[in-house]
Amino acid sequence: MEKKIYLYGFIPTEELERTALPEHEGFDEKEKLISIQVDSITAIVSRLDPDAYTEMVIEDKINNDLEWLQKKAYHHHEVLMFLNKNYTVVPLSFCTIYNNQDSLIETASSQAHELEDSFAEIGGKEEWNLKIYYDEEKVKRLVTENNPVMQKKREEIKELSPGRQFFERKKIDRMAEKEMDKELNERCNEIHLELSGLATRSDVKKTLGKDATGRKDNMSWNSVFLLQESEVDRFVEKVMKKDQQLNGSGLKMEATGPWPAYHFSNLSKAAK
Amino acid sequence: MAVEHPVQTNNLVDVLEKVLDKGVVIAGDIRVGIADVELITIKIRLIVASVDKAKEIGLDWWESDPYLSSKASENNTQVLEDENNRLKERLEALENQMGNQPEDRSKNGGVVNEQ
Repeated sequence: MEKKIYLYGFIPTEELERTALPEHEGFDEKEKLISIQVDSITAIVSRLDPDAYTEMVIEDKINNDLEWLQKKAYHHHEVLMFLNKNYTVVPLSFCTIYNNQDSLIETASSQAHELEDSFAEIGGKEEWNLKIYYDEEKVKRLVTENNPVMQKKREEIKELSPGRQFFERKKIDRMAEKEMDKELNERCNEIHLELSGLATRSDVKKTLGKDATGRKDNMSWNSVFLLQESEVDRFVEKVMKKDQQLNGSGLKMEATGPWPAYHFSNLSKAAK
Repeated sequence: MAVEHPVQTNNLVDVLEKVLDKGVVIAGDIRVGIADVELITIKIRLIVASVDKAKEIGLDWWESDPYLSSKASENNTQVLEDENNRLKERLEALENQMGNQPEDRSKNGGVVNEQ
């Protein structure tokens, strides 16, 4: 039976001609990375034993074998990081698998134009991520302290009976929370817009909860930027400067990159 | 600020967020969709790392999570107990106030007679 094909991503064939693909372990430890040329685009893949990697097995592993998922997700990412260092790469989502080489070639040929567009879009650029975190207690306290209406309220309720005070304090807390959300959104949006000025493209992503990030502080902003290589230093400098300015405000910025262009080589977008 | 390179192994959520991103689409013959990256990350955090291992690599966040740590849950119970006691005291005070009113009225026969 023909081997299945695990697809990591596509690179321009001409770049592969300049820099040969170094040897690297495949998705299955027994296999190596190989390249399959489809005219001007080249797929970077590794072969899979068709019996060991049926759709059912993979689905089951993804949902029930989280250790496997973590290991393989890192492998997928590691390969793409390494490709990204040497080539312009359109990265594919985890576990994009073809039943055989012909099927892959057929798909790649039918998407050739979109892939070319995507290479043009991300070539010579880097994808960077920005996450902004906040210390809830600190931001809330600062917001309350700097808000004259809330300060006045706080003074007023001191005269009330303990019972009323309890409820009024709850009301003020809710108000503080609202103000905090507003303040965070305004600040992060401002930062995002300023940084977007340096980027070719930018997007705001969904924030993730503390359980997922494993951090003590909360995420208030999650965004992604596509930067010309020549703008990257300026971007990083700006993030550092902004972060310094935020010192004492309870907000903290964290930039990561360069990532393979997982976000910006979305073919459906590039095709528009 | 930390400028980090994504190869670092501690940013599990960053890697999963990218790798499992539903945005990049070229259909494979097999392409297993993953429902929720956040949920998967939480699950991996819970299952993969044993408590000691987690501490070793700094993933000891559940110590402060009220649902996962008995220590934290003791604190949580304490807060609830305090609140409960406060409410009981207030209830008692209110009952006393209410209890006093009819007594006063009966003393005066419901009529205020000022002379």
